[in-house]
Amino acid sequence: MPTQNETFVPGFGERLKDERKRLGLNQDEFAERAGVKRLAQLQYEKEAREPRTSYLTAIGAMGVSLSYVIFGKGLLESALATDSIRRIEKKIFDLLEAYVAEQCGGYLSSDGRYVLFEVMRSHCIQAESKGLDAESKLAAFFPKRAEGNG
Amino acid sequence: MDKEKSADTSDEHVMRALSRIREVFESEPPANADDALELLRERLIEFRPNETSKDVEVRCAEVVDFGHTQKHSSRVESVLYWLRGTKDFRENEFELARRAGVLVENSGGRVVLRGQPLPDVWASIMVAGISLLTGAWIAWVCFATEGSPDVILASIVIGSCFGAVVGKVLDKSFRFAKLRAKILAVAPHLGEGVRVHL
Repeated sequence: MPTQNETFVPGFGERLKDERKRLGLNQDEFAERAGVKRLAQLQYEKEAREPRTSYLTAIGAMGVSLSYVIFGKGLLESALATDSIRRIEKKIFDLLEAYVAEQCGGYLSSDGRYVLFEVMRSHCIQAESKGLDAESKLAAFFPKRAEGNG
Repeated sequence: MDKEKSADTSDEHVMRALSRIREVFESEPPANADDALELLRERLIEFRPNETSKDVEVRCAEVVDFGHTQKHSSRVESVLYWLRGTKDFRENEFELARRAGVLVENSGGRVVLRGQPLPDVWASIMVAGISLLTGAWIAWVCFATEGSPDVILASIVIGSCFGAVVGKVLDKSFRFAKLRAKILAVAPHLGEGVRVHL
């Protein structure tokens, strides 16, 4: 029975299963690496219960896209330059620090920070990539204008 | 036990944050990373009345800076250290701030600038009252035997003046109000308090 919650977008069990299969792992192997029992893994995939932060951190470290599993929107391969990504990461870090200071009484576990950082990073990089795509399309239509601006 | 409790609290914070971030994911995709960050900030940080996004950014930056520029075991000392960095205060003013307890940490972990313990009006009334009593006492001790009302009155006036001067000197030496105003001018957010993490 799917859980009724406001955090995970429905279908996260299926997406989790997709990611597990993408990594070529069965439920036992995946559960072991994630530090949970097979039954818990089964329940997550059935959406019978919500994963905890430590679980999300563990599967994130295994290469699972957290934003895809939680929100159904994965991180596409981005053409962003490294310095652009670093700039975005720094701003996300600042925002996360502000959130922790303002809303969490100054403390949030490293697992929690990791999960929030990863999903925000994914979202922002996707947004920036989208803007980059739009600029590329504009440059294709107006190459001279783009050169003039550059 | 404490660790478990902290982890649970963190889990709650993470899930709450994720549910707020979910709204951003489900809304119209932003044009770039800055817009995306702006939306995330609006969702994650609770705005105060009439506060703009820019205000929130500044407020949060202040909180974060306090937590990252120094290592002190006391939150009050952290703030004093930060104030020292502004180079707007003399060293003896920090001693005064410590002695007078101008900055205090409340139960919520916020460091706030303490209000003036005694309003100016009440301080004036108290000083005047003490001066009057002092003058009367001097008059009674020194001149009562002469029994001249003029002399007693003169003693009261002299005593009152003396008390007023003493009061003023004490007030100046304490300088609580002055220091408080100065700190507020440099760091107005201390009036409401800042959350400092160590």
